[in-house]
Amino acid sequence: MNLRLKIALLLESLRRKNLKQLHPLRQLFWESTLRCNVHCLHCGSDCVASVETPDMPAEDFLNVIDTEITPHVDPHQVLIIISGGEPLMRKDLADIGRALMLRGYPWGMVTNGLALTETRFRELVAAGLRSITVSCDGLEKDHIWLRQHPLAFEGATRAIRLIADYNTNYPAPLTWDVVTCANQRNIGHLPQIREMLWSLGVRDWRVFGIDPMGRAATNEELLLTDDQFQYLMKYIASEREAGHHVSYSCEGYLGGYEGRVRDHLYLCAAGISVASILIDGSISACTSIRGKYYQGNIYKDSFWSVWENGFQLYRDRSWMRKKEPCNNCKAWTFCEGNGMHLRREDGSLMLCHLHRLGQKN
Amino acid sequence: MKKRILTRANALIILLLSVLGFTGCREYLVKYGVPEPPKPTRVAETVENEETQDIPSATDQAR
Ligand code: SF4
Ligand code: SF4
Repeated sequence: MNLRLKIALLLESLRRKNLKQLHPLRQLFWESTLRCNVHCLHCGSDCVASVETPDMPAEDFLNVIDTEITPHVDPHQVLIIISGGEPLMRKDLADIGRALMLRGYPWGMVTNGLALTETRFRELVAAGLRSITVSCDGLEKDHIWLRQHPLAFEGATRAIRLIADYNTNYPAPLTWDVVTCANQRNIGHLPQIREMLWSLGVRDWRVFGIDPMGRAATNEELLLTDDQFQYLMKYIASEREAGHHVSYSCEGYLGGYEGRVRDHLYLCAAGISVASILIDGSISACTSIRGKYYQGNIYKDSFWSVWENGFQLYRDRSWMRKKEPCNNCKAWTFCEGNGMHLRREDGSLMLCHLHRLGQKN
Repeated sequence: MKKRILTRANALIILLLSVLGFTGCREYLVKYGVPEPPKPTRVAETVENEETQDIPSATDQAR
């Protein structure tokens, strides 16, 4: 690792230390529904029980916004991301978006695009939608395989065209990108996928591996080998060198690849600037974090006092250093035990990205 | 007071990082742009405009 990167990483770890004390709430995820219109092989939420789990009533969420969050933040500085399941399954999505907009909050969503018709899209934009991420997991055959729905590819590409078209023709463009879960089937087609996406108007593409959790934990076809992961890093770095804005996800300290495969240096912001309200009211950080690390519940706790005084496991991660493989790691200062969502209930780590890269610090 | 010092320290670190060539090293959330929401008054206008102006059809473009 060169000296410039090492200094940068040290500075970033200092910044992270300060940020933990400040813990400004900047992103709030709301798991608004567990219903979904596709049945992805890799679903992190393992939505087997989803049909029985009722959506959270909009007024319960808005009540937390009004009584617990708005008095303490500048709404313009907090992005609310409505997640699922598939957020478009909620018929009242535009009403909720409008309610957030009138309170001054920008809001966004992650979608598979299947239910994003032109009328629906226009309605959401008029309701203040500012940021949107569309999932597209490869060329047609591979995407349909992963999403387990014959119209999944058509839906995703239609959504992409709608957004690209809107951004070209309207003066207040949306922040948007496409995400792809790299797996055994699509890893060999990444250059073709990028070309296909660029031809649709995409200019911001995030690619990440699937983590061994939810339905993915038992399906080896979904998980990348270490060699494939190394190829993914090389591929992303080379695309960026060629001027294409391709990025890896936020997880994992990547040693020598830091600064080369994403815009920022590694930082797991869970519980530091990111919080979530889950379907049953649980207060957590990113939605994929295990239940043991939930910090409270909006139906019995004050969200704001949980945000201010809870989340200690997130802001002081020294407990992770007591466990393998982080206990003897020289990269601890830069990494601090990888992303929270990669910690199992018993505190053990699902994977170390640095080890996958075969790099040492 | 402490909050202000920490905020300033972080602003300085971001500056130093950019000097080192890490211009994108901002908070994770900034990736998503935290865009300004449209002002409520503007929203009413936008909704009105949306009704009168057609967003060019994506299906047309596909053809
Ligand atoms: S061993 Fe732990 S601290 Fe070290 S790089 Fe891996 S996950 Fe990070
Ligand atoms: S918990 Fe995972 S997804 Fe969330 S910020 Fe950390 S690394 Fe990213």
